[in-house]
Amino acid sequence: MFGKRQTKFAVGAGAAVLAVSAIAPGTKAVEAPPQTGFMMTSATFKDGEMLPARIAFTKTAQVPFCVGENISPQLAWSNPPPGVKSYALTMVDQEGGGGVGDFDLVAYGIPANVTSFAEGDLNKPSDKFVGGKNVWNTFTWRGMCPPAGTAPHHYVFKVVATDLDPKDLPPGLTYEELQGRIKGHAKGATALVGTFVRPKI
Amino acid sequence: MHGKRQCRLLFAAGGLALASLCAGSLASGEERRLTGFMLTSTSFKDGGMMPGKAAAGLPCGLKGPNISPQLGWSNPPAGTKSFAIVEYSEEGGAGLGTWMNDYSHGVGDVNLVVYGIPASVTSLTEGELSKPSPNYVGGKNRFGQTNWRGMCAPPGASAPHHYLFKMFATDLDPKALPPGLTHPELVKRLEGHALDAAVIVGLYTNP
Repeated sequence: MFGKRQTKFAVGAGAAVLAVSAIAPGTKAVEAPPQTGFMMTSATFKDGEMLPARIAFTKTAQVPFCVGENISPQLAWSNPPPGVKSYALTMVDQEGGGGVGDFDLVAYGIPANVTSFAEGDLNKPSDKFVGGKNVWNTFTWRGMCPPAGTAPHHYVFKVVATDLDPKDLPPGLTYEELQGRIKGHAKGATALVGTFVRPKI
Repeated sequence: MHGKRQCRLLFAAGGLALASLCAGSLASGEERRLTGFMLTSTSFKDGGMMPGKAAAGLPCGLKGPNISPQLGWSNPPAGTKSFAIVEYSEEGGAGLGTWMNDYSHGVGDVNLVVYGIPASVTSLTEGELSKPSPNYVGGKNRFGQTNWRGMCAPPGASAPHHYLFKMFATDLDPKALPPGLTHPELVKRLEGHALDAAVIVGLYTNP
């Protein structure tokens, strides 16, 4: 994103602000927020590389072909933009659902002072996040389990910095509902992409 | 995700034939086995840096010549009649770019929306998406442009942005969709018609 687009986004945050800007041609455009180098890292996997099988979903009677242990990955982020009050964290299988995306993790209300999750932290409810509803109707980490015969799927982990209070959003929001609630409150985002393909068994 | 989830889009169509195809694979207890549909590029490696020549030019203060990358694909699912490609930055629009492409507010970070690529076309050369071509129908990106708009990450972002290219294999005739659809409009029109998807991710940081 370049500066001008971010300005538009900031203006779009509030109808009143937007209206005022629109009817005041002499008004100087809001400056783009400075880029702080907001950045996510993981000790569990490297950006652009294969995810380890231990974070994949576990074999069950319904899904006997899943191969993992369903341990959520370690994630950390640094240099957030100013004004952050909480973070949202999502993980999406980009090829899932015929390309519409499968939403495997929906978490938000992560307080600004929390800047990492240890491996397994997202497997159980905690006061470090509010659980939204993933496509499996669960509220915690759901590991990868791509179909047979695919090229590696791409799993996008994204942290969005918001100006929402950690308690602003109710538990159980779906990915789409979270989108709507965060709109106008997002200050910046950082992403990591891991790939995964079902091992031959 | 596994076979059951893959059926979601097909079911959304409400088409009897598609629904029964999907239900059949579930009833048998067998997953639907996919064909290994794959998107590749000779211009950059999946998960690697994109070349500067693909970056946007003057509008964002960069000197990129805005040459679209080469894209090739293989092993589409049976029944594919056309392909669609979208490209967007995961971090753009403060992270909402791919979430909520509300064009009325100018939010959204979708750089490329094209579709109606005939099933017989299996690659696009470098620069082909930078200008109109009989090989695709141009949708509308976030700037209202109908073809390639290169990367334009903000200066000072220490982490490279992730540019995601997603190709849909569809059962739609190449002429089924009108030109000028936006990303959300396209996704809506693909409901029930996306047979599979393939993704490649390139990185870019403003030098």
